[in-house]
Amino acid sequence: MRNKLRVLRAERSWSQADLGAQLDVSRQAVNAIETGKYDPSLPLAFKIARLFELPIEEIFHDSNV
Amino acid sequence: MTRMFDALAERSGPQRVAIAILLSVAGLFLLGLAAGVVAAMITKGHLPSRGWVVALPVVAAPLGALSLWTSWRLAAPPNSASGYEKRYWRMWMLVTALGIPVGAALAFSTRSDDLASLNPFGTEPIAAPIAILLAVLVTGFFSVAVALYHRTIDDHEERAYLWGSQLAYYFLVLALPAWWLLERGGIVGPVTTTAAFVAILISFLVQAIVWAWLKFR
Repeated sequence: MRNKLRVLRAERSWSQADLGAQLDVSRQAVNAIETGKYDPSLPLAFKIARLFELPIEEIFHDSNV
Repeated sequence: MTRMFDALAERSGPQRVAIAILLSVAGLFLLGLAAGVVAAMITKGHLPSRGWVVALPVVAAPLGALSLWTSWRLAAPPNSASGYEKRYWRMWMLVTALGIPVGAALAFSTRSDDLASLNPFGTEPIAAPIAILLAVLVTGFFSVAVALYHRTIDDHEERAYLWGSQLAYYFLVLALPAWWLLERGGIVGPVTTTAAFVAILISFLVQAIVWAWLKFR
């Protein structure tokens, strides 16, 4: 799974810690999602989508497609 | 003193935590030293002839307490930390605070009068009521600690924890039957209670390594 989280975060000049605080997760979780080492659960993916006011599929992309 | 603390607090997160761990070990050592000297004085019933031995607990106890207090302050998240980080830190502090009396109760469960031989993993027989009390304490502590941990952590850490647990389980599932078969072949010694307990401790280590790798890589 690929995602645009790093780009969206950079556009808002947020650090990984800032984003983690808004999503109520650790900085390590944000880093793992951004680097593709961890795919978030559906509830967390929805939370990310709500925070950036975007549909999930605009943030996360299936790397096989 | 405040200036020294500020200098320590300004260091990066991992450095601060490393210093906090070293200070807490030093603090526990100094408090243990003071308690040991005082216990020896009480047992002998008189003050030692050498003055510096009398002065030792007077100096070591406050220094130990100061070290523990400084390590507590250093390990605490800064005011700018997120709600998640603060909850996470409070959970670990609570688990540690609950764990210390349980560990101490296990250590003092031995019947030995020799303080140097205290061993929480000893196999010496203990009185049945104390055994029941300790079993309830240990299982109660682990149940509460695990419940607190799982209520606090995020998805990412939960995944790291579950994979670590799974691989630790595989370690036991593979290691113990292999050992049992080798023992039947006369190659290794029998699987004793202590040996099985050591295998479980190694599985904890496997769990911790996998957890740390998945969480921090």
